[in-house]
Amino acid sequence: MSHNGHQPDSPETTWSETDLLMHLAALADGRLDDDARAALERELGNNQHARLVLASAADDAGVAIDEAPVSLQTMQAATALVPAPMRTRRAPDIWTWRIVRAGVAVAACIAVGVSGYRIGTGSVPVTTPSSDDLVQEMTFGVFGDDDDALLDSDFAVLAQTMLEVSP
Amino acid sequence: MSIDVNLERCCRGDAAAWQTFVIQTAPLIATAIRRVLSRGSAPGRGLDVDDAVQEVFIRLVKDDFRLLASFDPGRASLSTWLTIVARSTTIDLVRRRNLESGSLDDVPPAAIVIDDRPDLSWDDLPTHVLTDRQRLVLQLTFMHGLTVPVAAESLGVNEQTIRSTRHKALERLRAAVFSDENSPKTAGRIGPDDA
Repeated sequence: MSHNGHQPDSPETTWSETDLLMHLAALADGRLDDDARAALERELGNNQHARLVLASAADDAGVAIDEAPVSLQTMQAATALVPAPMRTRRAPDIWTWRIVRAGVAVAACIAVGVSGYRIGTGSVPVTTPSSDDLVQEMTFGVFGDDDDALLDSDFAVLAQTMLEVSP
Repeated sequence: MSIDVNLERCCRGDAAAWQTFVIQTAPLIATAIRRVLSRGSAPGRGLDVDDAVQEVFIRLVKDDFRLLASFDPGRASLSTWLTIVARSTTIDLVRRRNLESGSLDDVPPAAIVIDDRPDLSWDDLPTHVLTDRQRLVLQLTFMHGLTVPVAAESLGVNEQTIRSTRHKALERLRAAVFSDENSPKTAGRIGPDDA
């Protein structure tokens, strides 16, 4: 067995590090039954490191545990020990936020589209019958007398072109 | 000391739960470390308490929280278990530092096997004649220098049990030593006065 660098007195030690520490804590709290106690005593007889831990704890028996100050730097370093892959478990929050943002964007596009459609249909009253005067003004009234000559010359050029290309 | 932490969430890697765990337990861990280091004549010398605190937390999260996940609340309180882990880690750190530096000056007695008694060598003793408890009691009282009350407290038994166990152990050893003609060097090395 390996005790993470601990030096057992004998190769007979077979306890894992976790078992040993749990048993020592149970012994300190008085929660070991007879069988477990006998097994731990056997292990302690062969494990120097375990005896040192036991002897160390025994010195403080009955002494109230106070709270020693710890530097902020140490606290921050310890807090940062949580493995990075574990922090990716917050990904669902990020995706929720992304989905909300995408939904808002789609809603904004739809709103702009509907508004544009309504503005467009409202500005051209295609369903309203127009008077002849109005149609006349909208289609031809935009041109003045000076423009008629220009239009006539355009028509002349167009007619000439059609004559030339026709068989 | 009351610790209110969701260990299951810690072991799943919940950063918030782990932060709460660190805030609540760091002072307790630091206290245990300081007490181990202060057992010597040079308190804390050679080993920084903050470094040891950090080492304890590293040990807890190592291998995907293997050690922290092994804690069983049905067998001991979390505070007791953490102090045991802190002491174990500190003793290991001191021992490693001792091996690296080759100096005993910075090592508190808690981390050293007390074996400076003249003419006393554990390896020379016929410990095979002892029961597990007898061997342990002798180790604690002779090798580690624990007094009878402290040894009794550490093993959770009364002082009379320690005294009687040690007495019977010494009787067995004495009988084994004096009956073994091939081990003259061990004769007369250990006796009740040594306690």
